[in-house]
Amino acid sequence: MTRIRPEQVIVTLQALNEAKNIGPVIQDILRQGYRCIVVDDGSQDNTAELARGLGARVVSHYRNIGQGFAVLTGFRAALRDPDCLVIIEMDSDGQHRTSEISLFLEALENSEVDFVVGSRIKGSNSANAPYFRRVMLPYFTKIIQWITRYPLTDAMCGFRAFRCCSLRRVSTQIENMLEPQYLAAEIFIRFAQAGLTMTEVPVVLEDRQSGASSKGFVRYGVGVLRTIIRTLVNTRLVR
Amino acid sequence: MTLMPVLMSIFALAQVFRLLGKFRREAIGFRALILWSGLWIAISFVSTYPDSLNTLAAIAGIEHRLNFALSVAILILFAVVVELNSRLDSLSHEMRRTIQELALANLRIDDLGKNVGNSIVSENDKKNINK
Repeated sequence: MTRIRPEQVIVTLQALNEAKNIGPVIQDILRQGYRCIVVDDGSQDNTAELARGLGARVVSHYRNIGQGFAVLTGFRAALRDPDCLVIIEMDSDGQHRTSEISLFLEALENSEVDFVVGSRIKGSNSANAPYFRRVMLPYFTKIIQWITRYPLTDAMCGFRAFRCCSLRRVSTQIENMLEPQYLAAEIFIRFAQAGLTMTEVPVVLEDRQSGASSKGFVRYGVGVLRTIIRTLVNTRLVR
Repeated sequence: MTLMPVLMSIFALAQVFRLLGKFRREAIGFRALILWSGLWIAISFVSTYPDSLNTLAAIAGIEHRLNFALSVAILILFAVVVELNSRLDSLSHEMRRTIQELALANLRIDDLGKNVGNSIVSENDKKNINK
């Protein structure tokens, strides 16, 4: 069992026009002693300035390129830090509780798994999620569970923790993601094929403080399915 | 011979020369040169000898040559759309990767700037202490 100190943890937040929500999230993260990298994905408001002012490191995409790419930018920025042991990925809109980061760290400390994924099914989902998303989630989870053999209950939760050493082992896969726009599906398939192990911890999904999610769920659903098929074709069938 | 085949042949020939010019300037590749030149030569041939389509239509099992020509045109357009879509996807992916690399490079520059800034401050501090 290796004790993970807060300063060895980098929390990456992807943000698109989240100036109204991101402040308290960054403050909570820094207050707990973790380090914070904000990936500003082409925001038109003052998200980047606000985050920088609060003490987070900010990586700015000069235009919006999608959440998946922003996640990968966060990983790549964090992996450059030699002192970083764990990367936490979470939402910047306040839907994930920063107090639950410790659950992820405990799971990593108490086991040998390479990454930990939050589960809203094991925890609770108080957020008023769109009907289509609620309907799609179990099906996508089943498909990814069947392909990867991971014990998943929630494949689409954006609250995750990764050991840096494990991410470095799959750095080529990270840089060559086919469809980073729909990262969740691809990340599981590629990591399973690389032999990485995972576990889940229960998390709570809160309602957004303000604004609305920018994801269109019909498009998102089609994108996830396309990603699953494309990743399988490229990694399993075509060698 | 009517005017239409002559005009079509001149137009097709002009297009082939245009393609050759583009190929010489390396604006298009060899594959595109062959494909598009072949298409224009075929159009020119068919407009000069329209009856040649009857044989092809019969082989394809289509009764009227006009229907055959339309079917081939739709197929070609479909193939072009698929090809363009694939190129757009690839360009879009490349653009996103470039934006990502640029953001990470800027972060590196910011970090270097901070380090330089810190070292200047600390040097100044040292001088003040020495004074």
